[in-house]
Amino acid sequence: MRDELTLRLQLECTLFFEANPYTLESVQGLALRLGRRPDHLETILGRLVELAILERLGEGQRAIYRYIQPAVAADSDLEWARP
Amino acid sequence: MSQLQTVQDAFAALTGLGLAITDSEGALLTKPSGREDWLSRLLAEEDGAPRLLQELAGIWKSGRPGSPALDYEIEAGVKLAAVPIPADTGKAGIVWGAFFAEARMSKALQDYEAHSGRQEGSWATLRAELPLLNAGEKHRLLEQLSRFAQTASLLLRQDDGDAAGGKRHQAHLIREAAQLVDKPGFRLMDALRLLKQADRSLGFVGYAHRAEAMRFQIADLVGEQAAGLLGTSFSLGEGFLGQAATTGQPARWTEMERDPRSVFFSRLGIRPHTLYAFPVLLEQSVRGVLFAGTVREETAGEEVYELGQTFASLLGARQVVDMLRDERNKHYIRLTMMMEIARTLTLVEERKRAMFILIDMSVNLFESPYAAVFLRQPSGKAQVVSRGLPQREAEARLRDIVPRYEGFQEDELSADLVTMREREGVRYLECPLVSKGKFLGVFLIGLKRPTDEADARELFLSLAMMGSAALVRIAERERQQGPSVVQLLHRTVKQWNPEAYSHTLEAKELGAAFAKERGLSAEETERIGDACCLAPLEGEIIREWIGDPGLLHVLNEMREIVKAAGEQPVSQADAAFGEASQIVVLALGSAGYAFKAGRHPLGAVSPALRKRFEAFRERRETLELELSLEGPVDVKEPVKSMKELGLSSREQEVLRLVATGRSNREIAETLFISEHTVKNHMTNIFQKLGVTDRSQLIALVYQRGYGQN
Repeated sequence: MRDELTLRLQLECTLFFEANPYTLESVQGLALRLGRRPDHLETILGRLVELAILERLGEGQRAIYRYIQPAVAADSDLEWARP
Repeated sequence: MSQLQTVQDAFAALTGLGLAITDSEGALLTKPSGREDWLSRLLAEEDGAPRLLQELAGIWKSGRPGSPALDYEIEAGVKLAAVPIPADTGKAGIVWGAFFAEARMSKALQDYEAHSGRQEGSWATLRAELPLLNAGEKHRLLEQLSRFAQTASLLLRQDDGDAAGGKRHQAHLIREAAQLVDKPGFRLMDALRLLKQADRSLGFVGYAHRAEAMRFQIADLVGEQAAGLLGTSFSLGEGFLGQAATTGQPARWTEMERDPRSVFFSRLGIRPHTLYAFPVLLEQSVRGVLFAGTVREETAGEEVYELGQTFASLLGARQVVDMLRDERNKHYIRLTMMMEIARTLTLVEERKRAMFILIDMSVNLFESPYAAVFLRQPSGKAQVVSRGLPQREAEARLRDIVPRYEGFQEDELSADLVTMREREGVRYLECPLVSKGKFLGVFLIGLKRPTDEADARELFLSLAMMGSAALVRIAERERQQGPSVVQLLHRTVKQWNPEAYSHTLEAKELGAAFAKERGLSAEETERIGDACCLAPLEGEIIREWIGDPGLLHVLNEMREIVKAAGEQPVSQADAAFGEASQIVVLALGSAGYAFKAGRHPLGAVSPALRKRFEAFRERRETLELELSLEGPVDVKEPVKSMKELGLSSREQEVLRLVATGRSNREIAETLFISEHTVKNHMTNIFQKLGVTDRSQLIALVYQRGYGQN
């Protein structure tokens, strides 16, 4: 299990982006919003990109992150019935 | 002790005596030296112990405390010289100076034996070989032995000092090591350095940790002479270290230069002379091997072997502490994380967001390659939210899941409902979502590693429980709070299409009243009214905002009825669509709502229902008319009551003109406003006075005696 701060920040970032699904945030911006240190968040955001929860646009200091919503299949498309 | 041995050997050779040194209990302190034929009798063992020696020591101790010297008569003619080692400065002990015969006694015995013709005692043979000493010689022998005892005392004291110093040093190192491993920031290298201090001859000390099930890697090492070992690895059973790792027992090897097993070292240019290996055990399993060695032709002291074992035990204890600490931290992290997730799920108000949280938290906590939630809708449809699963695969999973949960009847979740499954080589955990006896759907997560199962199972169940509770709560809340969302959306209709708004308002009242008369449940009646209000809105907007699956279903069916108008035989309508949806269509049609594409959908409604609806309308219109005409005069209220109902001055003007029978266009011309604005005012007046159409409004106005004052 990863250390507490890492996992806590990971969940915190995920919940932030879930609650703000259309936001585009840089590391600095997110640090300001969450009241966290940018150097702590950098690794976390990289991890969330690896997990395909976030998408990174651009590189380095200018990189911005946005939430990748889980796939939603509309209820009109799928039947809950035996095939 | 070795110095004492040397002196003793020399003294025995010089005097021609047999010498033995014991402690006060008769236990040998050195290896006896000198006349072996004498000593063999003295040291003859019985039940594994030199019985005679111990008996003599016992007699000496009890009978002659502090005696300076003794010539002890074993039997007639055979004496044993013994002197005490002074105990005041060093270790108490006895120097046994072997045997001699007294000249005088020996002569008497020989006479007796010659006379009697037999030999006395079991020592007679030996006696013949013993030196015959007279009183003076005996005195000198005892003096010699006493001097030797003095020397022995000095040497023993020195040895005691060395041993005590060694023990003190050893105790100091153990104490330091214990303090080291107890520190929060413990570094293995510090312990290795400490062990190397135990003996100057040690050239290196290192630690190989178990990197894989069968392989150990050396990642920590002290001692430049063996620096090449750093980073190397060995398998269980490979070479000396691998052998210790296999047996789990401490071991040491000396003069190992020519041993073929030392190839592990020699190929790195390291040629140890002595090697010690101390396996570090954790719950009976070897977690690592602590090792040390000399590289010159030196052999480290015995204490290194003892100390190494103590260090290995301390390292094992540290690993147990670390393991427990990790376990505690893991539980703490889990607890805080679960509390955070639970808090968020308690606050979340949208079903979709709750599903997103379940999925994203799983991906975070378990590093799952995929996660999905399949919800069963009341309409018989499925809602699927997933991450990491292609759409087609998600659909395949749904087809796989549905038969498994047919007839599912559990009221609440429990650990045995979590199942481990495998699909295309990837193991995954699956759990139904159920709360308060309601089966909601299924939650599943893929596992990155097969070993994750035990860890993940419990946490996954907790997530499923929290998710189930949140989804049930959201469903109940949506059902209860639905109208406010509906009302909000209905108001938007009012903004861009007041006419449609007016029609839907009328249809809502009509549909709900009919549903009530038909005996439909309050929930369904409410849905019919809501569906009437939302009829003008696009499907996409409705799906985005409306959480109540029952309402969504009615709206979907209503659209299907509109689509099917003129395409479907009327006789099948009963079976094809729900009664609620058909009532919505009837109410809207009756209120004059303009359906899209100009279709009049009443043709797709069941003829029987349509007939009953028409009969209901007729009855209702008659009643309204009666109410309008027969309103009792005594319920008249003063005109100010209209103000109390909250009508603005402009609305009161509009109302006044309505009461005089003006049309909207006429009112617009009179008040110099657009017809559209008049319609808006009318809508507001309808709402404020609680009426649904113009005729009701006029009736109400006259009922209250409007304009009389």
